[in-house]
Amino acid sequence: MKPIIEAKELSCFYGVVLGLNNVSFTINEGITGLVGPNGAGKSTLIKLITGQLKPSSGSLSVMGEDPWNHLDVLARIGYCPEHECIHKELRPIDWLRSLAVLSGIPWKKTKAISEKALEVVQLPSVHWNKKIGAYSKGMRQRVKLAQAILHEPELVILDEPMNGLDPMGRREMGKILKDLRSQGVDIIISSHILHELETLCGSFLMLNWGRVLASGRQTKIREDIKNWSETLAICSDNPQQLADHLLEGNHLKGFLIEGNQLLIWLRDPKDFSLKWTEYLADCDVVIQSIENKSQSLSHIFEKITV
Amino acid sequence: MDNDDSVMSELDGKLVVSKPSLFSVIWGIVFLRWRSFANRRTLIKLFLAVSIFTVLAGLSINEFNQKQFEVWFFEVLTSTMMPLVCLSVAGSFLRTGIKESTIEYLWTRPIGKAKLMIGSYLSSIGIVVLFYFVFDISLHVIGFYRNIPNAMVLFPNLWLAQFMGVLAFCGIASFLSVFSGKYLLWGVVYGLLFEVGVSQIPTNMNNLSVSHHLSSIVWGGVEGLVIGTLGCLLTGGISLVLACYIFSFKQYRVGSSREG
Repeated sequence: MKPIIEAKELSCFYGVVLGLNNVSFTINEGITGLVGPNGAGKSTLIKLITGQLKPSSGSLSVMGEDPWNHLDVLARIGYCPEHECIHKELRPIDWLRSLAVLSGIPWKKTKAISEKALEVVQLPSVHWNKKIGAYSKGMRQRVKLAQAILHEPELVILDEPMNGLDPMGRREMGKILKDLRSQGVDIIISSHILHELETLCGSFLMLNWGRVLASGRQTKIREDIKNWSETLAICSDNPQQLADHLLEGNHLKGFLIEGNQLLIWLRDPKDFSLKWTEYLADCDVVIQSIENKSQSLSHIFEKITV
Repeated sequence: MDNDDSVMSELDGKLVVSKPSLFSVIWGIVFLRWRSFANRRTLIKLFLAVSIFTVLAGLSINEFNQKQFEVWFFEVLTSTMMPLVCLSVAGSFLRTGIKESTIEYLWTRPIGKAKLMIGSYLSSIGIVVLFYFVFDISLHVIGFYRNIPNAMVLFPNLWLAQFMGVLAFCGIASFLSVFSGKYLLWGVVYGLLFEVGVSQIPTNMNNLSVSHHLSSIVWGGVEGLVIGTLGCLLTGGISLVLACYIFSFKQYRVGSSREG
């Protein structure tokens, strides 16, 4: 795995307001999800990567270079901002042509390249001659993505690209991004819609309050948090008796009973995962089902950002 | 057709892009601004403004009264309206882009902020010159119907003064817009201080005022024309260099009028 972005003790402050606080991480090739709640520092990090902000301290390297005022890096990056604002009075082709020429594409080629980008993002050609102001939110997201891939960048950075898309639109956007990845394009995608990112991203960088909470491949993050309190939901005929039994064995950090369901927070998840049949067999209750509540990334995220 | 084929064949492979030249940047921004500007709503607004101006000027300028014609051409159209128009056109492009976040699409391109500033400056000049062309035509039509003597004789000097004024005021507006989010307020302060105040001081101090240079171009003879032209070029040039420098190194917070 080749690292495309490396940060060492990176901090960025807006005056006294914290953006990022002394973070170190590496982002490798592939599709990487940038996850965190509002104010976590996702957009600040994206602005640093795209050379819009200068680090207050520490270092950031994008494809081996410092991105601040570095045109060679910018030439290799495509960026799709979070904000809704686009020149609404323009037709998409005109907007894309002007951005294409600013990306270094010769003017005579800009029309064909803009049309190709609109085809890639699957914006139907019947809409190409309409003004962007008349577009739905989903169509605008597609045009925004089109401008990011116009110059065939090596790295595409998308800030909340799923915003405003309906479930079908999200699926299609996911497919477009997977197609881009299959062409060798590295992608960094920020979102708080974790469900879509789980199927899309191989790696994650989880942020909160300007700090990195977890980073790496999905499987590695899951492995790491096995050391943390795991949550299980066990349905049985006598949840109170089961809870008492597990408490006696000192297996629990906490529990909650809802009807016939016992929700438990484990003290040692690794040990419990190896010996759970033994522990439960000792207790004279009928187990109906066991569900691991920590398996979805959404849950992990919920847990680590509380 | 050949061109299209070559584009498509290149599209099948890897697209090779180079860093855009200054000319490409200027062309890209001019195209973007022209397409934004040339819409029905803007053209209706321009038509209304020209109509109101024409009616007011037509009612105010009496037959054969050259002095009144010059007042409308120079005092109203050039010295008073021009700084405001330049401030609005040249200042708004980048500042509105920063406020509305549309600037992110431009400054994340491999063009450099100085080139972006120059492109913004030159495209603003183009828009203001076009705007003034329409007003100049309407004023000269009035001059023709009011039998103003020497209306056409004065035209080259008045036009040169206007053009130089656009270069200088657009430069100042660009500088103010990258310097502060409150560029309109600073523009008014600048206008009151330099164009209204300093320009009236009858020493070399008034060389700091663009209005003084503009009146030199129109009424200062050959020497005034040369000095006035140089004064405007210098003001525009220095302002543009400062604007490029500040814009390149200052950090802005998009989506907000505050700076980072």
